[in-house]
Amino acid sequence: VHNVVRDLRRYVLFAVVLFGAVLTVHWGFTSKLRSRRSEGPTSSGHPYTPHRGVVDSRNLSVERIASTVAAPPSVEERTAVELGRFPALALTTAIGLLFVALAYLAGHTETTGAVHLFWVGILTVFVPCAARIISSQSTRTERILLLVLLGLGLYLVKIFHSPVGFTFYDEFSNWRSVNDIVKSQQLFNTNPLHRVSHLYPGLPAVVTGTMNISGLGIFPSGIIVIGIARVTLILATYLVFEQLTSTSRTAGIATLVFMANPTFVFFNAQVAYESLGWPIAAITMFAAVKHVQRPKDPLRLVVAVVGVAALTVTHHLTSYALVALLLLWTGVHVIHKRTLRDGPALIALLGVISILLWFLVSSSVIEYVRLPIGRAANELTQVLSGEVPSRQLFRDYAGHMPPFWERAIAYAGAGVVLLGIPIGLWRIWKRYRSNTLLVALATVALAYPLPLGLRFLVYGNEIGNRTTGHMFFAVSLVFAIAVITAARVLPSAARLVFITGIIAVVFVSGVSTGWAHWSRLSGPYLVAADTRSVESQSIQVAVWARDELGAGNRFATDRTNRQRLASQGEQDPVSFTAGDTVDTSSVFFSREFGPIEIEALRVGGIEYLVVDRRLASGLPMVGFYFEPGEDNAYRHQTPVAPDALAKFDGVQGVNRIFETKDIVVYDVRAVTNEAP
Amino acid sequence: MKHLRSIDLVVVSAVTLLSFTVTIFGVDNTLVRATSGLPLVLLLPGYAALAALFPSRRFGAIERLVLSIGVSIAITILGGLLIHVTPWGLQHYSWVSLLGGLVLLGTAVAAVRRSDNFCLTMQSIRFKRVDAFVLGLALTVLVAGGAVAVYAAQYQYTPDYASLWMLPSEDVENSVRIGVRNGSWATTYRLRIRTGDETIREWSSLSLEEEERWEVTVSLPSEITEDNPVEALLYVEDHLVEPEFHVYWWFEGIKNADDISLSISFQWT
Repeated sequence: VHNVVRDLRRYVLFAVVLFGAVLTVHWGFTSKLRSRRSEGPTSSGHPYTPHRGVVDSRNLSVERIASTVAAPPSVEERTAVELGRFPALALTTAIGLLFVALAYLAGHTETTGAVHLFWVGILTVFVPCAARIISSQSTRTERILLLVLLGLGLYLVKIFHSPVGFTFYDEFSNWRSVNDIVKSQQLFNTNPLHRVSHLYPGLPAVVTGTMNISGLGIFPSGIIVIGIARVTLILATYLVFEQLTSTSRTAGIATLVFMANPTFVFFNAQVAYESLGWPIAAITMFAAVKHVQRPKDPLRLVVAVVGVAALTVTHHLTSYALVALLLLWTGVHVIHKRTLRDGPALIALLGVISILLWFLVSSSVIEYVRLPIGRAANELTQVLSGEVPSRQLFRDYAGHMPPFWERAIAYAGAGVVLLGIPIGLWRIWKRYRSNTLLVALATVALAYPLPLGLRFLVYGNEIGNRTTGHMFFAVSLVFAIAVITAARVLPSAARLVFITGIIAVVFVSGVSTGWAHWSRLSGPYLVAADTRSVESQSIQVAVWARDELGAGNRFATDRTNRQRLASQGEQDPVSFTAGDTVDTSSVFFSREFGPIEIEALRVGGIEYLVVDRRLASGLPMVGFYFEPGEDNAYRHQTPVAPDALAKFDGVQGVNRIFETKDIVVYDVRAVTNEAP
Repeated sequence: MKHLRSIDLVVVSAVTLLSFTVTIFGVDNTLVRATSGLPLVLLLPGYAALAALFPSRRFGAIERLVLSIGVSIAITILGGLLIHVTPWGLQHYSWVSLLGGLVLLGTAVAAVRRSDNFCLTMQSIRFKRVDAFVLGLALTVLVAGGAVAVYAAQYQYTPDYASLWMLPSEDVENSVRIGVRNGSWATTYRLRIRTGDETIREWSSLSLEEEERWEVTVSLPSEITEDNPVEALLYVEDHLVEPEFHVYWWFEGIKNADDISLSISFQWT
């Protein structure tokens, strides 16, 4: 295996040759057919220009577009579907995924070149599909097939990262939620890993339903649900953009840009509640667009209302973002049309009511959302006043930086998007300003620099990342219109290369900034590094605790072991961030085990401690070992002192009950009076 | 193009009934359950609902697919909330009854409401031999990539390390349970149980196979005091200077001491 992965250059060359050969053979076979085939319109009833797939939509209002979209099937729809380049691009996607898998293997075996292999692989997945989607030679059907192919290909990048079990941070809290539902047969079980996730049971309900009916386990059920939801997300996003621009090509390019957003490849591919929230939001948006086009048709209104209700109980931030967009759209509609009628006002109103009603169940989400925003605002004040330095971009909390070229492309991607937005806005104003939703989306895109600025803050970084992802729905369409506009100054032969290159840069930038470089690839254990901290010892402790101690015991431990104990171990570890009133991190940092530490354990009702000696071997990659509010969180300069972790040894009444290579479990019930 | 009035409703009903049957009768075939069960959760409720509520509407294929999946997921979420408040809770019977019932109801309503001149438009895909060959090749490469990914993932969970544990026995008074779970390599250990300087029991050559689990219950002598814990020290045979693992338990003193007795069990995990 080492030999296979070592000589990466040879394999890259082999891939390029294979890729070229496949395309040559395929295009050779299909060229005769292509020359005979008549290039029909690209969508049913659309006034598309033949051969180019571009609509002449000047002066087309949304209502006009609606009347054309609803027309009977065209000649193309009644004839057989042509796959076009889909088979060849399916092969390039598969080759790219093989490289990604080899990169993960190289990461595990610490072979040099794993990073390069990863990028070669993921770009082999992205670029050929992107080029064909952008090409004006593609038909609408082919474009849709390729968008789905690309979406699934990028999803498999995440699945190949962790193909046999959950390893991503948020997946463990969802695991716990589903496990509790399966056991109790009830929703709303308190989750020791997450303060509010049990109040948004949409994803756990779907996964539990899938498990119960299909008989599959939690991991396959989870990845299937999210996989199907992502296909729906891509299709719904495409359909919304197609309704707005009335061209298959612009919609395809905008969907492509949407897939380049920082949270698409990894963060929103997790089996976590936001990953399901996005598809529901996109479908709701599509139904809302269709409803506005045909207000007297109740179908889409019903779908939109059901969608809003389902989204409200699935993910808080996505439901707020959707309702905010609907309200903004309503505002633009009122300004433009001077009336509330025939707009999205009803759906927006129902969304607001839905969210307010759900607050009766989930009022604690206000505190959950307020806390990080308050921290970020406080930090912003401190940074502006010079009290604390701003966060250094790309540097992780252990001091490592990704390679220079990766940082350069990340900056270039952000810069290109920032440059493109004004061009897109100008174009929208010139051509689409009668389209109220497009104007609303353009308004959202105007605010895009704000979440980028949050990346300069330690506490604002995650908010910025999540907000960027949500705003990309608007940004992607504006940016797509911008690149198409900008490409017009180029000779036609160069346009495809230009647009593909620009979007590839945005894609690389998104992957770079959306997921930490050490977390993208698999590899040996790192301290407090989420996916990179998943290994056998923590799992062994969790399974032992479940089998020997029973479920539901109170543990105090670090972030990594807490996840395993709460999911596989079925324990109730204390977590301040998940809503417990005590922060036990000081118990572990302290060099002595005295009355203060014992009192902290007593307040938390702690029965067992899990001490991972590896915490003393490095700085935490996520910025903290135990809780985000611990001493020196995000600013640790030295690892936890080894003697601080060893201080429980020999203390009378503290029983050392389990030891594996690096982890020790102590029973502290005798000192905290939590004896059974 | 084929004109088939309600073949879709027949297929939907058949899949639903199949899923209903295998769930109710507890058919233990994962392939059958998954094949029929996944559509019942993620596709059919929405499809049937759209067919029932809007029997004469023409959807594009993509729009129908998107709306069917989206409405199915929404129905499952909202249905989960509904089942939650019933006495039966979220279990496979209640799920399959709710979703299966909705699908069958939807298809029945759709069948009644569909007009005689309704026709289902189905598109065929023009498949050339070279397309089939290239897609087959793509699938092969994809499977190879998946195999490499699964192989690579094993590194994350290996090697498996040995562990030692000790807990007071709940079954036998004044005794402790001690367990050793071996790691990824067959190893010979030496296990010593002591209190203070006194050895209670010792296994000088404890050979365990890969991932073998060994457990013993040891009754404690009367000399146990609260000043010294009962300790278990596990040495690897070729390194007897320092224990590899060390666990202990503080007792408050043993009042009704028994003779040392042993109960040993082996288990492969």
